[in-house]
Amino acid sequence: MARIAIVDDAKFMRLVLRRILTQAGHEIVAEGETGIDAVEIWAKDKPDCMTLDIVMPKQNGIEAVKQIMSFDPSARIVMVTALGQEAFVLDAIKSGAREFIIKPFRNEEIIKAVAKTIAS
Amino acid sequence: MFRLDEYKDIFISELEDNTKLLSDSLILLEKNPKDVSPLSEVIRAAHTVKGMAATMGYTNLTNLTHIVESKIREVEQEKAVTKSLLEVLFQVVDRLEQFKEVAVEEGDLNKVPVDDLVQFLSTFNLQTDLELEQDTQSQPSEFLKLENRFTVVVKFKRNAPLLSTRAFQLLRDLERIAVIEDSTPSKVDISEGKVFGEIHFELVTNETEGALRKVIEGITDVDEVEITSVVEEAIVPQRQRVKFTRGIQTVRVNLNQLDEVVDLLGELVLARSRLENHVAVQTTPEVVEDLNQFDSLITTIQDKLMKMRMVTLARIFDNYPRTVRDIANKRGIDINLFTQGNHIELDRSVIDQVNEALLHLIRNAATHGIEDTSTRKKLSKSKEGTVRVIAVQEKGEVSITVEDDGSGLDLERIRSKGIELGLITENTKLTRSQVAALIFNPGFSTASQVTEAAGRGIGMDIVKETIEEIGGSIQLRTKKGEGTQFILRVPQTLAIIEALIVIVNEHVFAIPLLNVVKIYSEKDQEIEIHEQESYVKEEDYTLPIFDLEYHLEIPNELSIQKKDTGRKKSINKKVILWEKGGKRIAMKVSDVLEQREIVTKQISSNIQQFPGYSGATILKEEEVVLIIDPTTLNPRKKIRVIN
Repeated sequence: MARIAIVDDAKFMRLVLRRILTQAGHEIVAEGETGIDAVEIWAKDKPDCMTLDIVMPKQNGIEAVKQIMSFDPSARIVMVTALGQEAFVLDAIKSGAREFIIKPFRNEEIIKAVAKTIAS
Repeated sequence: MFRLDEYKDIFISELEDNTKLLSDSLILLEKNPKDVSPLSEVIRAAHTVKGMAATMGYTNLTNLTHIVESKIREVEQEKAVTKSLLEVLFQVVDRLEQFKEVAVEEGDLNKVPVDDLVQFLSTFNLQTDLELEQDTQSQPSEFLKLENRFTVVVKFKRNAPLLSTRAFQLLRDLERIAVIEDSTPSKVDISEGKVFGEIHFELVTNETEGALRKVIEGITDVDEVEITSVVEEAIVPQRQRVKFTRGIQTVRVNLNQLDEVVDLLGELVLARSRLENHVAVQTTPEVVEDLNQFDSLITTIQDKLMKMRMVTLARIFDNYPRTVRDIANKRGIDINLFTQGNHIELDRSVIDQVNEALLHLIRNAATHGIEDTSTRKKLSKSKEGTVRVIAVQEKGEVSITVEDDGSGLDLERIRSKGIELGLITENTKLTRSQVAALIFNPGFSTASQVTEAAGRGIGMDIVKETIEEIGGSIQLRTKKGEGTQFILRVPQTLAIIEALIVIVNEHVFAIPLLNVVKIYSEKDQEIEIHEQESYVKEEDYTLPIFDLEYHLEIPNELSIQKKDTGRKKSINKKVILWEKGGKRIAMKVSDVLEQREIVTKQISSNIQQFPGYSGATILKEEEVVLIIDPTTLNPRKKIRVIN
């Protein structure tokens, strides 16, 4: 299936995402904890899709999206966010992220969002 | 030269009628293009307007109506019209309406552009146009079906989280495949996250309805999609489109409405200062900044409104030729009237009073100033008398001179009449101009006969009063046998304020109402009177009361008339709570007379050295009344200012 990277500062969240997406047949090519990791992973591994947390230490998800878009405008990114971060999500989408899902999410939601993003 | 102006009203109403005739005929033609009989009405309307326009010297209007008339005569032979021709003729209707607007506003009709329409009509060829129109009809797919037009309504699932972000995604994806011409909420609102509920789009696209639906349904949480195809009217091929320039755009506004806006602005100023009081307790730099911005906005609006209220002198000057002609005809003499400065603008509240005064002066000049033809012949003066009305723009002021080349004022008779009226005695020594100025006294009339035009009108005293009421002045120069000259000076705009007219020591003063917070009677319980000092005691503050009877210096050289209030010592004294810029002052006055609008004027430097005044005004009774501003009162004189 597709090559996917997961960036989230919470280890638990990375585990959950890895399990769901692997079960759906995807390959997890990299994992990161910060926005800086996200940019590096995109440059190095060029995944088909990346799930990206918005609120992270060092560099947040929105900054990461902007930097990734600056060198790869075709990057496919799904934002993973918690409720109450409405304004951040809109910013992320405006910056170039294709999709977003809200925590807590059901398994099929993340699978659908990733599938849609890859197809777009 | 002025004779043409007399026909202006007739011209305007005829133009109006014929524009309507043209418009009605076009509507008929549009409804039923096969029946070309209304074309003759189009020709008639154009012909009539052309005739009038040529007489009045309105070249642009003449050119436009000429080309319309001659083209439509050609078209009438062919017994056919085309859509584009009708479209242009409707533009002609709009343009005629614009001409009318400009005529009403006293503007220059030759500045209304017509070249675009004239050019289109002169190169217009009915046969070519008919062929083109047929081509368009036979090949609709090429011209008409360039794009598919849809109305799209998208509803999201109820309680969908981050709905506004979904809406933005929808907008983003739609814009990849379609041009969105309109949307509710607007595109800006959508990108700012201002979306609640459903979204409507008007869009054009090369995609099919199915493709459109697929994109929309691809957005998470979209619940319902409604797509309606919009069938568009025939799109006029590009080469046939004419670009029309738009000229001056004006809207006529009822003056009362404009006055209401001015009043409302006054309310806004009051509301603003109330707001300032409320936030004064916990003010922050941001609040101060906002309030300052408020102030500058109010000032700007005030300026703009003042500009809107300006009207040109032409509005009143245009009536004078008829006035003069009527008097001249009645007297059987010839009088030429010249006006100058018609384009100069005055505030509309000033213009009526200026008109009243000018009309009287002009009537006087025509009735009494200009001699009979036989007298003029004897004096070897020109057969025709001349009256000139000349307006000149000066700094913030307009001077208007009314002069005649008539007999001039009879100073001997004025002098004797002055003695008769008890204004002067036989021994009073007066200069020539002082004698002449006597005619501004009430009850003065030097005319040997009381004539209809001047005798029954307002007297010179009222002319003077009228002009002074609006803060203007009047001067007079005359030379026996050569003529008389009146020079009016009036402010271009008025600074009108609401004021409280009060009595202090039997003198009349004005206090701007804007600064008055409250008026107490001396007997009110909030007022505490002690021997040394009195106070206003309110819940949250106590203020010493300053008795203006003791603290206000009254300039002696100012002939402030004493007001006879009917009682030597007023027993009903009032305390006025005054506030400006956060400072509150309580002041005691002898009495409050009334509340009224006053016109503020600058005070002379002599009076400026006296503290406590911000300006002056003139009341009807010719009194100069000073406007009190207690912030500038001398603090050594016990006036204390409490923050």
